[in-house]
Amino acid sequence: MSFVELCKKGVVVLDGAMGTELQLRGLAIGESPESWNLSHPEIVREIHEAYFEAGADIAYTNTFGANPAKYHGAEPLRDVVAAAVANARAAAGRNRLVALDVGPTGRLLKPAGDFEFDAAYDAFAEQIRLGAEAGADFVAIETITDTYELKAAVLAARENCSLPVLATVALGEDGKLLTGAGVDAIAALFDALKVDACGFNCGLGPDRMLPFVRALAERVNVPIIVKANAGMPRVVDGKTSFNVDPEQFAADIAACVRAGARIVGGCCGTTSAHIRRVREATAGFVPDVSAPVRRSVVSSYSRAVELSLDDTIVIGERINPTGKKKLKEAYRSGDTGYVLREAVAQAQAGAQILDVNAGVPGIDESAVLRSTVEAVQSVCELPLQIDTSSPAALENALRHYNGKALVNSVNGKQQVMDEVFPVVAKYGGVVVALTLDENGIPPTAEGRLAIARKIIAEGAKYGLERCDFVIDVLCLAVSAEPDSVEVILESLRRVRSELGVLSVLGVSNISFGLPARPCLNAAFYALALGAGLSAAIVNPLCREMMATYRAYRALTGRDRNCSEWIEAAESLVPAATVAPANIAATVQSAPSGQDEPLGPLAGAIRHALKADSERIARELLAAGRSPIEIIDGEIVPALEIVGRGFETGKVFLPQLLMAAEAASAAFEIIRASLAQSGVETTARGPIVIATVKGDIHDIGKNIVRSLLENYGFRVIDLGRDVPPEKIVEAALRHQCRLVGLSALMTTTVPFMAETIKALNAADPAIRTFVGGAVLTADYAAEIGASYYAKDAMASVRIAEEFFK
Amino acid sequence: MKIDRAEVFRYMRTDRAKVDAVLESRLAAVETQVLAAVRPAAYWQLVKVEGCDSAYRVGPLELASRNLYRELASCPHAFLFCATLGAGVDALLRQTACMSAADLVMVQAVAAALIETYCDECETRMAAEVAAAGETLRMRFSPGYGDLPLATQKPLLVALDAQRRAGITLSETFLMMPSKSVSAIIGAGPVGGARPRSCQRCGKLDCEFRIEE
Repeated sequence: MSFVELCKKGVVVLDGAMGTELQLRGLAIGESPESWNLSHPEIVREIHEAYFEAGADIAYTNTFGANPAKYHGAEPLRDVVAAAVANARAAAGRNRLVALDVGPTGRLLKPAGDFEFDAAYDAFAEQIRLGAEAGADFVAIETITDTYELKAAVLAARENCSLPVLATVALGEDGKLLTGAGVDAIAALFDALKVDACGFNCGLGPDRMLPFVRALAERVNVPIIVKANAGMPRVVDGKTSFNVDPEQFAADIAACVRAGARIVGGCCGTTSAHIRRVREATAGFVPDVSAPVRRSVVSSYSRAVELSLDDTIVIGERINPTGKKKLKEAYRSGDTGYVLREAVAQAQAGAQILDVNAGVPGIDESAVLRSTVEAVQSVCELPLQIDTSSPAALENALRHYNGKALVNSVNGKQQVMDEVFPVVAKYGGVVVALTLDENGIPPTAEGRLAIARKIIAEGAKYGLERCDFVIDVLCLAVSAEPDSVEVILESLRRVRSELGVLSVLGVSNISFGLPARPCLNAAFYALALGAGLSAAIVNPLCREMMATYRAYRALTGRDRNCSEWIEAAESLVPAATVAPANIAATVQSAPSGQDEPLGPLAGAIRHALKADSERIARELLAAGRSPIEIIDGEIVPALEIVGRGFETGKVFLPQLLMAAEAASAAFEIIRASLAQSGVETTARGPIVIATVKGDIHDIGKNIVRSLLENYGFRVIDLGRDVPPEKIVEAALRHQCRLVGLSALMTTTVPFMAETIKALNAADPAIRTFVGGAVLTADYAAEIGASYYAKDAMASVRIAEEFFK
Repeated sequence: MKIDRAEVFRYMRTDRAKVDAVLESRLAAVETQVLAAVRPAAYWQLVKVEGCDSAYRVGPLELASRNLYRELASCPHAFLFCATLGAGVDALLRQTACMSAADLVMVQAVAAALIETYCDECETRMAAEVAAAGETLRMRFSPGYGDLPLATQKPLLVALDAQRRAGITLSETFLMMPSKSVSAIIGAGPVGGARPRSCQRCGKLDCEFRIEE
């Protein structure tokens, strides 16, 4: 009998715990359970047989820890997996099935941890190939606590065998994974990866799983698995016990079945007695045939966003280099910091999804798009819209995207559909469909709808449904196409009423070539919302646009009681200017122990008043003070006073950093003014900094980076856990003469020494400065560092001295 | 969980008496963010301590650390312990790092204070478990303290099944992830046998947080 046939029969019963059963039979805590497949096959078989005898349809092999990233037993992995499948098969006979149990790698994937996605994939792939060769009937991925690891495991199963794939995750008490995904985001990923059955195991008892089973049933169309613990574990004197007895367990499982579970069994602490009662309690259950779920959901590692005809959402447009000189520059120079700040700022402004586009001539778009997607996901939990016209770049980015993405875009050109649909079908996603084809953009709504219909029909061949599409009816500049607005609005109305499909627009295009664009954009945005626009690609940092979005939702009852409007109100009106008298009062009342006379800007900087520093810088410029004079007469002396205050213990680290941020904000105003008059300011540097290999603590290094930047240095930050060769390569490529290295642990200082040696060998002119909790001046000298930085300010002093 | 402000200022190496309203209000905002990001989880097992000082066993762990042995003197039992604030704090640290170093220092300090508070809460519960047997807890002794190698993290966390029970994993260099995590061995022995907590027993003389008595 196949897995599919089995599922048609009603409730499928899985086995119970393996690990706790082995412990009862003498497996010591810390000993490898997988080794027992070879050393004690009779015991493993006996456990499988007991479960089958109790009524299980399926046995999970004793291979939970047989992942090459985790397994360190003496016996070869191949032999272990083969023996495990053989043991289960021997007990299963001909009428029952054997699932290859695939547990987590035991490592935490980047960015939360230090393990590469591709390495996790390779590890899963090896175990799965071995299990398939050994003759498992299907793959059961279980106890996953991170969406990224789930994706690596399922892709590995899909691409390395042809067996059905079951996947279950381990929820915490709050119904979330370790890295933050709730049932909605987990369900979106299950759906994107097209697993054959999905659900929950471990973590909780079946009573606690019930609400999450219900939530999952509202979101997926495949059979739902519940493999629950017998309550919570407690260990006394080395003996583990669980608190839910077979009777209660079976009653709770039956409730999960009524809520939608179809494949049920036990995890930690369950025994054959539990499984016997589960079999009895679920016998004869006839499931309702419910209508399939059709929802348009995208997700990230922790968050799901549902697009709906009943509401509208904002997609942040700012990580798209078209027409953005600074972003182009940032992509070319590899300045990830700029992109990340744009991402976080848009999220804070209220965007629900962020567009990410890396289409800059002269760069490797595929590599940069992927690394940008990864970097943005490391700091921002919003789902992303992956925006590229290159199918190769799309595949690379989608493969490494943590979640289910919005894909921008496909269009009606046959070749584009032939290239894009297979990728979307493989990785899942909701697709933006542009209503253009080989003949260009139709001038009428009828023409655009025809293309939308064609795209949806073609997508159906790949298994995509209407809910997987968002139609972009295309926004053309009103300056060039005076009638375009009416065509757009009619198209929006008809996409909704005739196709019943979601719509999206890049709203800002409407004002191209005209002055005062934000006002025009906002007015057009309001019209489009009125015509039923489901999603708008806009600048969330533009006050007018967010005001329109929030007003629309408040006025149409989508923002009940206008509570979101009220909460956002402060950000929707122009910033009130603080009366100068207030500043003076704050400045005077703030205790900083310095009393030399200073200008107003220096005062604001010293007291870390960022908004005031920006405002005063603008006022000084408007009053005709020369930029150089403001820098030399206010900003530099203020920084000097704060820096000296820190060094003499009068100013504390958070105050130093806040003052430096205020200075940097004022400097940015002045730099922009200089740039307008054609004067480019150049930062000193560059300085390459990194936390050395083996060390994942990067807070200190991040503080140093930020302070150096605020003091006017250009910093290339390589991140944490950086191997020596990568630091050498970056130093040479950027012709960098000063390199900063950080290490927090005694155990990672040897990598610091190795890096310094490698830098010296590559270019004896390179100087290094080192810092970190375990370092001292003597220790720094011993490992060959040029300078020792005892704190962040000392790093600034070293850089000032070096670049003098 | 309650934030111990005095500890936060200590971790920021900042004299609370000398800070102004600007810093106080930023700190309040950061505290809200950290509390929203925290998802604490902990797990412990009570195991037997057996053997003599050159080679002894704490449950499944075979150890040779003399510093720990001294801490466990006269303890028939010990707790193997792990606790974490969860991966959300690391996500917040990453996000904050690209926006503001000042906020980063504050997030770090608030989270550091919170994990200590959480461990103290867990200790209260562990103490209650052994109180009936007439035992009290000794100090939280972590891999990396004194002569207990950092590499002890591995067998300790394996014994606890820490990934499954608390979501804690190790880097190849034995650093815990999520970063705001604690693992420890905590002796449980006769009342009155505990030595007072003191920085004087620690050999790290240049520790920036050392408290002189």
